Amino acid sequence: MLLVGRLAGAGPAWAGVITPESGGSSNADSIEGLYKIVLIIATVIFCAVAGALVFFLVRYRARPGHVASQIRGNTRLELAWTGAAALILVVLAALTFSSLHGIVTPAASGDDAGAIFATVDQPPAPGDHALHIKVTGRQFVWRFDYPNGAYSYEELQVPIDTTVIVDIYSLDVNHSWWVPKLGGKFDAIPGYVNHTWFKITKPGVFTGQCAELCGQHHAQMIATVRAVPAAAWENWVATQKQLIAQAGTADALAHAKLNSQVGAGQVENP
Amino acid sequence: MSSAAPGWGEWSIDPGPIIAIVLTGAAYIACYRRAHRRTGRRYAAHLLAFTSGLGLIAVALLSPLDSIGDRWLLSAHTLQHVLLADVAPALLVLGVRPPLLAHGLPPELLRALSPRARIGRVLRSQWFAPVALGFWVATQWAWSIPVVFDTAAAHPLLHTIEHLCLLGSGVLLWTVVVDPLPGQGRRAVWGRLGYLGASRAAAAVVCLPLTWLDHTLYSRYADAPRAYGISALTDQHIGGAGMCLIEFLVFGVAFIIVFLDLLGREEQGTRVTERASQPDLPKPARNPLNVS
Amino acid sequence: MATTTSLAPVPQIATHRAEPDRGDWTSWVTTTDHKRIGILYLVTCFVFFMVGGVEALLMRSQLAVPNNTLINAEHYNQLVTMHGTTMIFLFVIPVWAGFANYMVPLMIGARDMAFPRLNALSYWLFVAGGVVFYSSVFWNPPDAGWFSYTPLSNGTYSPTAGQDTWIYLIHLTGLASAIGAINIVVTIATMRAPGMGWGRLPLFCWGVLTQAIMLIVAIPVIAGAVTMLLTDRHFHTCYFDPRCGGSPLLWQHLFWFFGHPEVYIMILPGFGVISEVLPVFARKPIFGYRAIAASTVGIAFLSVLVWAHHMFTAPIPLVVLAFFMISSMAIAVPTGVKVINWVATLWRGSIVFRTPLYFACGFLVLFTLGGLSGVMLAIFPIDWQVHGSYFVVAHFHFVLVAGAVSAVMAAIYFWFPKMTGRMLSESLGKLSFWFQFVGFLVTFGVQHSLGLSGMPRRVYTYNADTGWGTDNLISTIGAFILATGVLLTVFNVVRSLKYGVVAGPDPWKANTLEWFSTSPPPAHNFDVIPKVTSVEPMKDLRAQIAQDSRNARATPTARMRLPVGAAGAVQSATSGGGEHV
Repeated sequence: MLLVGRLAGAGPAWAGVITPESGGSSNADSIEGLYKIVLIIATVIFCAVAGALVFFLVRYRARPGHVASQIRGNTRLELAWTGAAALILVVLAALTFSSLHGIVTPAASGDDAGAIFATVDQPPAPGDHALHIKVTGRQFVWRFDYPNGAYSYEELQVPIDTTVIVDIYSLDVNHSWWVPKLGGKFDAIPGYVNHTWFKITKPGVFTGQCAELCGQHHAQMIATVRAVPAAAWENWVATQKQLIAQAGTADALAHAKLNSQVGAGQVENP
Repeated sequence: MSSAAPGWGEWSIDPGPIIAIVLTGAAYIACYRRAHRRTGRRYAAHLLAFTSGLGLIAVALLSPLDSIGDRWLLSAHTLQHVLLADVAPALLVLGVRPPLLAHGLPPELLRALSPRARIGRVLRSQWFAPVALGFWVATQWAWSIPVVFDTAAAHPLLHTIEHLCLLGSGVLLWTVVVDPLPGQGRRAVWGRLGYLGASRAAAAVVCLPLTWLDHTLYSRYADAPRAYGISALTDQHIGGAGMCLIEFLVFGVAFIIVFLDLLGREEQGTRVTERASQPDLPKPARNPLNVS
Repeated sequence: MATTTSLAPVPQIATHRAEPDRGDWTSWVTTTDHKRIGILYLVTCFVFFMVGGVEALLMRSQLAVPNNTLINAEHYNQLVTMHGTTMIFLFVIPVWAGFANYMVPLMIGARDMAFPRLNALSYWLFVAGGVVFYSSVFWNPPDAGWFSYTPLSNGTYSPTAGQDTWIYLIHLTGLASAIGAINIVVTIATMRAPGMGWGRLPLFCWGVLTQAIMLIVAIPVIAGAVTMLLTDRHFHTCYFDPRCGGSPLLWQHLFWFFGHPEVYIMILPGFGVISEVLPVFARKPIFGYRAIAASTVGIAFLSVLVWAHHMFTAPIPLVVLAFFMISSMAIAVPTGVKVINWVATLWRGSIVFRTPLYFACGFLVLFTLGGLSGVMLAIFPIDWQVHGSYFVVAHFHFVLVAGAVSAVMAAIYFWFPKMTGRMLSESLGKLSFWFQFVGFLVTFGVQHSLGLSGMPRRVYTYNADTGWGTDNLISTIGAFILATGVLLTVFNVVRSLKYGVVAGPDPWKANTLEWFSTSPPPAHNFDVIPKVTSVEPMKDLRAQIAQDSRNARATPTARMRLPVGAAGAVQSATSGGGEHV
């Protein structure tokens, strides 16, 4: 009972110990809230069962002169606890459905989030103030594509106070996108697209890693999400696009040079 | 057709279903009271089952489930169909299971149901079970064809015929499963369970595609205004998953009941034989905790 | 009038020359005796259990500290795959086949299984599966995990033959299980002792029977799926490859349609053991025999409706997730009924504290914890956070190690006297229990926290800044405590074979028919098969003997109505023999 009481008022100290990580995005917070209620119910049930077991073991241990009652069952009692078990599960299902909206429906972006869309060339859908990021898993790195054509590996940069909708793809084998503080995990399966969302309110860095065995270096497939203020993000994403374009040009020049050399027979085909 | 979506609190007062429900209820009460007078026993479980069955029919036909299912939500309509074709008939037939009919029906009716009378012969014929199953399956499948389903929802008369078909086929199906007729000739328990299982397999042909498909099938509902905050596809998924879940769980519950019944009857039968062969065997004590 | 007369065939007694048992190793290899096959199964399974345990300890050692270099990434993935596959296909499933083989004919009063030679075939197919699989350690062991998700397990990403040995293992052990299951069903359906109606079948037999039917349903699905994988790998078919129109999700559906019934295939016989052990040591009948039998078959029915709760994070419509959440929750109802009925069995008993009871009670505590975390995992938004993390690792070890393995331990301590005629040491047994119980809680308790703080399963290492070091170290220490507990039981078994106290036919004053025979039973099991009059035939028999001996003392001329050959039972009933400590 003490545990239950403390759990109800559990702060961040419990996160990652007896409750899931939260604090990055509101869907993670909603999952944590649901989890806490279920944990309290489960704790009560466990204490009841284990308590009864220990009590019976002590109270009814074999002693001289003590004879076991030859009880074969009791239909009413058995029906009662079948019904009770079913009732608890109905309550749990109802709780889940009532908290589902906050978990699966993307929250609205902040008021000034609309401004950023112009800078990233994302066609604004009516009523959709969310930033769409394409996340692609491959052995053994995550790639992030931004609406303006920029992309990055390993680290995803997002503006704060903006709802980010993540579309999850895979190029090779199954992976799973999971940043615990930003909500649950969703598999990246080749041939399918999966979705999730998050909205970060304060600047910060959130880490996660691939959660589905994807080969030898599965353990090194890390993902980082860096949330920065909107202005800084606009700068970063524009610079990133520019850098990629420059690198592309340099690459093309190098290729052209290489090709001419190959044509002259000076270098083996790389 | 009203332009505003009905709320979840608006019940209809359609006289047709109300009269039918009241008349059926009155007939049942008469039967129940006669049985009680003759045997002096109360059949609380029978009464509860039958009234719940009638209550579910009322919910299916008079609650907003009907008006919402008519035009707005496919899931409401499939739920209504499951109630009419499966859950309510099961409860109704359980409400008249033995020994109620044998004691409660007036003699003329009992005679009509006896193996020598025409109705009794039909009910006991070896063709009754397969025909009932065929009727139920045909009803499930035929009324689920998108064109038929949409048309029926739009035309009140056709819609009433659809509901009568569903309810009637459900009652016939459960008559075979529960076997409420007085007298001998009961079918083997496992056979009846297999029969019920076959009906679930047929229902799965309808409910599984609705659950898993990624495009909508019923244009009436796909084109309906989205008044309840769920997309047409999600609506179809809910309809299919709800139908599957209810049909399968009903089977699971029936399975457990039949199994318990079988264990009990098996043990009882063995005891009877043993007592007949060994008269000095002690009788098991009867008390609340079954202490022996 | 025709003169032909048809003569009735003269009854003849066909005689065969009985080969005397030569007593050497060939008699074990060629045996069709269900008891010997049972022991072969159990010994082989324990060898695989040890191997799987060593694999687990190697993994735990690698994870004990951050950035460890004891085992590299490649070998770690191979260990993950070998450990999971070994424990499931080469230990837990066949170990129940072993106990079922030995015990079911004895418990139902039969002289052997219905098809003794099929029984031997089933054992040797299982051995072949294990040998084929483990032969891969000399080349390239498989490394795609025990559920071998495609595309990782296809020809492109797992090109070595290790993955093929995994496929053949599934085929061979699957065939072994299916044949064994058919044998069990036929045996129980047709060979029960006189008077043993379905309402008097021992609950262990109900568990095994239900498990056998589930195997017959589930094995063809996995056999089909791995065959499709095999043709994808070698014959250019395209069932699971998205590059040519196949679907990786199809593999997941097929695998888990087998995989979730599989979970209950592993645990239902364990439920049966608990249902046999608790009444014996509480000295009272099981609470609600019919409820426990019915919940067993209820679990079996529901188990084929819940597979997609292993796929909550896959791209599947939300409504489908809700369906599988509700069906998975529904399965908690019969399971909960069982647990409460077991606890109620102890109520107003006269509880004798022996090692089998320790393991049964340990099972109750730990399995309840595992069941409750299972309900959490059934709630799909919660599953999104903990799926594929150490929380799930902890959950399924709670139900499989604390559940199935505790039940196996209880079964060993309960039935070893019957199989060998000697008692296991009680003090070593209790010591082993406490090591296992504490070791288990330490190992897997903290893994819940690891999962909640974001550690995915199947990573071969982690960085120090993740903060997972302490919990992992605790978990590793726990694993070694747990291993010590298991080794104590192994030592106990080996030692007691020679030095154990002689058990006598019925050391526990148990309830079921296997205790009617001598320990170990003769090749033909029973000289006389008694008539069964309740679910506890031995209790009836003891009461009858006590009654008759009272009568005999009162009137010396009264004839004792004693079945011939029940000498063992008399001895234990009158002298209280076997209550050794």
